[in-house]
Amino acid sequence: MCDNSLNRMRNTSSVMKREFLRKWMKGLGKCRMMKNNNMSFLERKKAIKLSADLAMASTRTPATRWSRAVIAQAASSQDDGYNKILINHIVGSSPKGKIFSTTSPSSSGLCRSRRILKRRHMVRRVVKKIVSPMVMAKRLVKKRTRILKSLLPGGESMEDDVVLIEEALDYIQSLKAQVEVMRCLAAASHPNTNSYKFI
Amino acid sequence: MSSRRSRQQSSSSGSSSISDDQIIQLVSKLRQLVPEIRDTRRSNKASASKVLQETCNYIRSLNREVDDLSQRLSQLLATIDADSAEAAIIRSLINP
Repeated sequence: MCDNSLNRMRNTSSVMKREFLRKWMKGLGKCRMMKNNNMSFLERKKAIKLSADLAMASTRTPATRWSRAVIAQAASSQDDGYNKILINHIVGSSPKGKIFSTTSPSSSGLCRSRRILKRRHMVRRVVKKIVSPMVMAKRLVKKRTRILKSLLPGGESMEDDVVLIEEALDYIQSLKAQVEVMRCLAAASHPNTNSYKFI
Repeated sequence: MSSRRSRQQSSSSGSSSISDDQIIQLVSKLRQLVPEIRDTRRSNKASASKVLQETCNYIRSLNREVDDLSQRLSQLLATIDADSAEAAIIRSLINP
């Protein structure tokens, strides 16, 4: 039973990787055309990373919330001019209403939860209440769920924990695929490499 | 994987806490993705928090790796050139 789902994961993974690679290269080609190869090291790095993130998100859009959040965040970012152009090029035109939903920045949520936890911690010391291990464990689960929410794109707007976990699993799977493809490209581009062992 | 409790469908979409069944499913899926999670005999709540922690750590490390790889690729691909050897390899991959 576990085998079937694992095989399914492997098969969809190579299809997804191929599509990711295609879209990523498409985005990079667009960047090259726009800047005529006169890019600084940092500009190039940002272009590579942004193209990769958008390409990966577009393979899972609009089925997953995290992918829609990644695209929305890139669309609303105040950064360089080519964000929107890249999005249109990689993701293609899509119904604006569904994808470009605004999501609140995740960092403020994490700071807030840290502050709340600090206050709670201080109160506990003063009152000297004995807390059962079950309650402690429950609090730890709540705290870590909040951290997961902050790590996942669009996680802040997911009230249902079940959805959060499902999205996190999909996100991890996509991130893994993205890392593996990028690793392969880096290995192949290295001047000392003889073997082009890809996917 | 057999569950000791009766299997109940998670019909309540409004519930905000993770049920034990879901934890078991999550652990099995995550174990395939994240090899660091070990089986423990502790209560379900304790292993849920451990699973969450490992998940968060894994996401952080993957994001870091994407960043490092982008940096490395920026060094290696001095020009995002359509005529280089890498592009030829990539083209052969994309069109099998």
